[in-house]
Amino acid sequence: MNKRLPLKCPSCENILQVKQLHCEKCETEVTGLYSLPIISQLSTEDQKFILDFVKVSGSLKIMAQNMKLSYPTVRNRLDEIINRINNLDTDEK
Amino acid sequence: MRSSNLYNPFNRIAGFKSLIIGLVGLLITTYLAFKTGTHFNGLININFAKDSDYWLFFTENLSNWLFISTFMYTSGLILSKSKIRVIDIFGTILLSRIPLIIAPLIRLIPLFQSFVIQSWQMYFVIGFYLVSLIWTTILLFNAFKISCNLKNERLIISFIISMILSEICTKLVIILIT
Repeated sequence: MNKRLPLKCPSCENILQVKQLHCEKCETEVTGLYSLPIISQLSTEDQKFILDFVKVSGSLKIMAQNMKLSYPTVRNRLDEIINRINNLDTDEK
Repeated sequence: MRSSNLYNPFNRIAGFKSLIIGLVGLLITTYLAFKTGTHFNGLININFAKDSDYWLFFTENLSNWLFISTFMYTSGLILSKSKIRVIDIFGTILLSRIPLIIAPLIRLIPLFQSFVIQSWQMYFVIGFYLVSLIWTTILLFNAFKISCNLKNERLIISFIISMILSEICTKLVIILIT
């Protein structure tokens, strides 16, 4: 099963932070308080879009062809993601 | 065919492809309008008159498309934060006007070729024209929304203003050339 990374606190909806990291090989555990990178705070669909976009060297035309969508639809989707990233960036500051 | 494609095909079609399909639609609509004496003398107007020259029908359809596209493109440049493309606006708007083919298409049927204003045939044609006009307006709205990436009140207000300005300009052009 592909488990999804929980991003928000189920109790108060606040963005979760990383408290503990674990090495499967040597069982080392690191404890601290780390913020999730902004890209990890995006939805799985948004992350996939960004990865696909990078893989096609940032070409919206090729993205549109691959997704079988029109150019402005894909551009609008990218603008929405940029907007979400800017909001997350502002929240972190 | 999914029903959403009927009122919003622009998620899949835009740019050069929509421009080519729209141009074919424009030429066919203009030819049928010429053959049946159907004048689109304004963005939302229809009239019926015999024996006009072909260029008049062509100018009516062309100015309807060019004015609304120009006003919507200008609105997009002013209000949108996205990098909008002129070909998306002009292409999707031209594609939006394809349903207007319905009225001249019906008038090809001999029974509906009457020029008498108060006849049931005319009411029938105008009824179908109103349906095609509503369909076209929904398509125009979605074309504008997607091509310019506008939302909420910016979208609605600029859409209404563009429609009003295009109607005025198209009317003026038609008055000037006739």
